[in-house]
Amino acid sequence: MMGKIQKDLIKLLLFFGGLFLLIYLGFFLLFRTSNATWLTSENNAHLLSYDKEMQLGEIIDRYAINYQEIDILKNSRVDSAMWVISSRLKKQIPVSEYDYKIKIIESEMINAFTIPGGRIYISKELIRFCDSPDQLAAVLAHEIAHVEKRHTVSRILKEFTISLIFSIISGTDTVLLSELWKTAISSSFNRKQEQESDEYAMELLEKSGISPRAIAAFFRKLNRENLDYNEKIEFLMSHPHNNSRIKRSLEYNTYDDFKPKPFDLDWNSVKDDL
Amino acid sequence: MMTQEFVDLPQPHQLPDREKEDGMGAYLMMFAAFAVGLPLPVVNLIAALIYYSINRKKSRFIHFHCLQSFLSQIPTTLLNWGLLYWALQVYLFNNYVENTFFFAYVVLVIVANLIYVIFSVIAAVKAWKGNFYYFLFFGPYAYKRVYSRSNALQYDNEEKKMTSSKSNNPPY
Repeated sequence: MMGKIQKDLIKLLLFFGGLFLLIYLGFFLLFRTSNATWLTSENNAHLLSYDKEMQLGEIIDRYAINYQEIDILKNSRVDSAMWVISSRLKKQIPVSEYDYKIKIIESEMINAFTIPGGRIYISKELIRFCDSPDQLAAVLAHEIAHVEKRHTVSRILKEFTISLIFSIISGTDTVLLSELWKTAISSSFNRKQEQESDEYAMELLEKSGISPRAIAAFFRKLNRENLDYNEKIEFLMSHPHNNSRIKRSLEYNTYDDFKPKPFDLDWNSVKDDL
Repeated sequence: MMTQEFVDLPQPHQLPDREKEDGMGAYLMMFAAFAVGLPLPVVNLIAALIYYSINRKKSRFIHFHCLQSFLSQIPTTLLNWGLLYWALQVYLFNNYVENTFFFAYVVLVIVANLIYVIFSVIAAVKAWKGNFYYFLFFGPYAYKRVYSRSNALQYDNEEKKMTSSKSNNPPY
């Protein structure tokens, strides 16, 4: 009798264990072989062509500057530092439809965001906050990932219909543009998109000779200074939990012969210029 | 040799309808409790435990079905708890992220619940007809507990066992 019960228990465990492995394997293959975005989010970015996206980006950017939604900071030393960092990253993007335009904005918030068309905005305070150019590169790589994966377009298309987007591109409705601007800069990427971007960013950093651990360093600092910066941190609120991002960044396996190449920048004097 | 250790099993025609219905109730009761306890998957377990403690002494047949029903929902409940915990960590507390393991676990929990419900319905129908239905592991275990001659439980429908212990004792 006991033998039968024990055999049954083994059968049960084997059945459910095997079932779990099978399901896991199924999902694993599904995620690998196809872009199974249906599971977590719908990717509708293909509705807007790259050309139209560029046009839309330009219109939003012009609106934001003209209507003082943002103040662009002009400082040659900071700009050139940003150029050094971004060009190293850009060189490693395999094939890109985008001509990246990275701007620094006058803002006391630690913030970074993208709008369609490869336009990335980094706040002055974020640059001040970064301890090293590597940390800034980590944030930038993350934003580049959002652009390459077309997350902003997909988010906008969730709020606005495609015909409305076309009417914005062809018209000059400032009320609509203001709504579009708010949608574009709001930080509501879903978790899947954030995770995807983190993974992309880590690969990009590695290829660019920057340690993916810069992400961990950045978030550790954020965690440390969380209390002081609570009100200043805007773009992190809907992002995956900082600790899990630190963990993933630290667990990232770089190539065996990976050696980080430090930036030839006097980071403190760049920050002093802000 | 084995039959010596166990009490003979009653055949369907020997069982009163009341016992058959109570046996079936052991499985059906959890559907109601399951619906109530959806947000907190422990209500079904408590309901099963209450049903078990109320009905187990009525007869061996009812005891067997109650015990099998109660035991068989423990793993499913644990799996559901695991899912609840994991989902809260992912969607509410942001400590974990969705990954392939999570989705595989969600599917596993769904499949486990489906299997559990299907087999419970089969067992309920069998009990209603006065038959036994043995779940893997839980069936033989419940049979061993209930129909073993070493089971000292006094059932309402069986003659009182001769006990040597005295029921009246002095206070000291």
